[in-house]
Amino acid sequence: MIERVMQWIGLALLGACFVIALGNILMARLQPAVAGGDQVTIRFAHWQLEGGVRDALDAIAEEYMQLHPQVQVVQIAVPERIYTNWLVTQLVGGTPPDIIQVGIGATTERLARFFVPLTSLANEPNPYNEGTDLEGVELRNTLFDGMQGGYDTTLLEYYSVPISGYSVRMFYNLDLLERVTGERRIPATYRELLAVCEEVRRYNAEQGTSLVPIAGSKYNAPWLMPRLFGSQTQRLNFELNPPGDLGSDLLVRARDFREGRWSLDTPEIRSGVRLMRDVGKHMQPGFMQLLRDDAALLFVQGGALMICTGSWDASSIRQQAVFPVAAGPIPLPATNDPEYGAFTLGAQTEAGTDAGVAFGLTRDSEHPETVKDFLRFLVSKAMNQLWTDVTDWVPAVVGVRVSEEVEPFLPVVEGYRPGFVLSAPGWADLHRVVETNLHALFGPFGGEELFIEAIRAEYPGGMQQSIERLAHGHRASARRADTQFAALGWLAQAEPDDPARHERFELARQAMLGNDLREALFQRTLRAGRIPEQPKE
Amino acid sequence: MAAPITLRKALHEWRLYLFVLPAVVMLAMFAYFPTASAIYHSFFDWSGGDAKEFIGLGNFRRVFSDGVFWGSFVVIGILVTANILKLIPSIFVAVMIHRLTSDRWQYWYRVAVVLPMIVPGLVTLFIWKFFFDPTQGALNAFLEATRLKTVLVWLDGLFQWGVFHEGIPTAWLGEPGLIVPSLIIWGFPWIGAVGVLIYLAGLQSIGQEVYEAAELDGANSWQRFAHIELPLIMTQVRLTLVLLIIGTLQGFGLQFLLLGEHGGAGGRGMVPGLWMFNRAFFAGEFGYACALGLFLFAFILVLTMINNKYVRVEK
Repeated sequence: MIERVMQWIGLALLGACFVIALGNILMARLQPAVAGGDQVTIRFAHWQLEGGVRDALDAIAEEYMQLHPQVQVVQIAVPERIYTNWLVTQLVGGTPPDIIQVGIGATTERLARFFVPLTSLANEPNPYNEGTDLEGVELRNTLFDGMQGGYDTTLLEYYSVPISGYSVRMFYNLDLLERVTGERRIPATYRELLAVCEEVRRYNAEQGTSLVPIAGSKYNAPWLMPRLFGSQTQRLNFELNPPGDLGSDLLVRARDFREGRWSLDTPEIRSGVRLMRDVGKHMQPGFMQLLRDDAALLFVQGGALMICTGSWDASSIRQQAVFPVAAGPIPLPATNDPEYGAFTLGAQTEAGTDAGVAFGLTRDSEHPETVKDFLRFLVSKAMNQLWTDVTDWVPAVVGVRVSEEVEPFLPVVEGYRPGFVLSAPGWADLHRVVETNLHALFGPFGGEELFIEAIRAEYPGGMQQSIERLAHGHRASARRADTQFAALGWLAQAEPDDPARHERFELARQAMLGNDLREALFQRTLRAGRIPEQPKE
Repeated sequence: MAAPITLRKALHEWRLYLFVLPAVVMLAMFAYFPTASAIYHSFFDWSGGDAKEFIGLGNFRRVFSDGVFWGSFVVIGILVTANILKLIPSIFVAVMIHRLTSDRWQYWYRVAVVLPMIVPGLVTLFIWKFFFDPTQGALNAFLEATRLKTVLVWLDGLFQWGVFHEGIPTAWLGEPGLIVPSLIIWGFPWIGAVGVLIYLAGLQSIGQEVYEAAELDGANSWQRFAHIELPLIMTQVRLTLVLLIIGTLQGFGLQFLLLGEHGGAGGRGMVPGLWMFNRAFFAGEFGYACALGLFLFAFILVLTMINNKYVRVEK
């Protein structure tokens, strides 16, 4: 008898699991009907799995549900690694949640096709700010970046509502810092950073430990290296573009590269590469093969003195580390640095940083008005206060008080614009050339010369292919904007007394100017023919 | 060959076709439609959205001058060869289990071989990634503890590999010269549960009388393997060989998770499937990725035909 039961036990277990799963799905689907028909469920998805975020969003959802008992808010957290694939599958499959965090994978084309423009919401006051100093202020103007983080310059519309600011900082294990250097003072300059790294090496030699000065990975290093490299191209950037109005856009610098105004042998470029090497050698060997979690684990377990990451990791690090953690700006070379001072202008400003953690409304949502109302609630001053209190993240709404823990992460406004970099993730082909050759820079016997020689042959081709792809994509997106721009112009003309229409048209006009400028740059670079190879100087 | 039947006869019991209809619809929807869509989109400059531009054979012409794509076949050639050699441990394990005289032990060994299948593939991949970690990984710790690292450093000096250095942890996935060896080492001791089960099924179908005849002829253990067991499971070996070649050529999950979308340092771990994925999801060139996929399809088709033609099973 027992033997007969045992034969079927596997199938029985499988069947039971299937029935439970089916029951759960049916219950979730039927919930509104069970609750009386007017029950509304809003689902919102994001990739922020860092400590505190889900708690904060749950707390905000709870507040909203208390205010609106007929609404149920369900949070869906999706790992960052698979977010793009998940997003595309949900959007194309027609089963997306009502609200989706916009950023990873949300291309302009996908925004246009699957998301609802939120411009009207941005231009109206947020009713949930009534009774505060932000009462009557247009929602976009309640955010420190004017909601630029949610504006798509190609589509000329706001597509998402951001709720948080961010910055990149160097984090320190204070106990370890004291043990190694004898004091708890974090390095303020590049030379002090190097001195601390050398102290760690000396400590290892004396104590027989294997501490790593800076925990590195292919996630963390790209937050640090562009800042270092950018410090060496600050002055060059300004010289190439005296008014400074074209910023550090890689496209503009690509045009200059095409015209021979800088090359891989330009002293500033060489210096930037050398600086990356000088800091990179204080990370663990082979760090470019490691993931974000590998570096974080090494740091929170006390195996590394420092780690460079964003403010979004601060609460996770504090929760997991058993030692006090301090954070400070990345120590960059000062103008009086004997080796790297000549090419830098000084501290880098973070003033142009847009707000992040932006949420968009999907076209497939069955309750768009309820969702818009929830978005307004989410970005109200009170809820943004709750958000920063629980997460220790930088708030996006102006006037929200921040705790002592958050203060080090507030954007540094003073300083100069960072210089340009050798590649960026959006420049897929160029980025591949640089990324796949970083071993020549960071390897045990790597260096500036090896790295430059490794990329010399492929760099111009990678840049050329990237420009061609970007120009193609830009043109396709700009075509969509043309019709919209014409419509906005017509509406502004038809209703000359409506200031909101004029404001919207003006915003679109500025974005169109940016689009036209980019198009002109693409044309100029592409018309000049292929970017020539770079013989060694 | 069966005699052809008339249409009238074929449609006589037409209702029976309704039974296969769901399967045909599913197959058409999930197998043939994506394939047809890939063929269709390979003629377009398409970035995955609703806008696309017909460019004729442009994508296919581009494939011929794609150095990364053709270079990736060198890596895949090495991996296919290594994977073929990796079949050997599975065959030996299957034979050993088959030869166990105790049914009870045979059962437990089968369970032991199948048990790792419960662990999701992704978890296995991450465990291996952790093995390869330069500072905290098990592989470097093992080499240091057993002093094998010193031997490797000595060999490095002899052959000038330039990858093993005294006092510097080895970056298995960060050093271009070690990427392909790491991909080969992956999965050690290379005992595939599915392979073992397939071979076991083949071995268990060998009649007892064959073994008795071999015993009468005085065949030793090796001779039994070489002249009876191996030839009689060649059908299974050929099946796993075809699946393995197709799987290796199409697969890129291992390379993607261990090395990233660029194929790791120097792009040394780039395989055709990963390049196709890279072009589609990182460069946004879905049309071109479709063209690459068709090339890959043609390549696999030719290899399978060669395999079927030359890896013959003597009946």
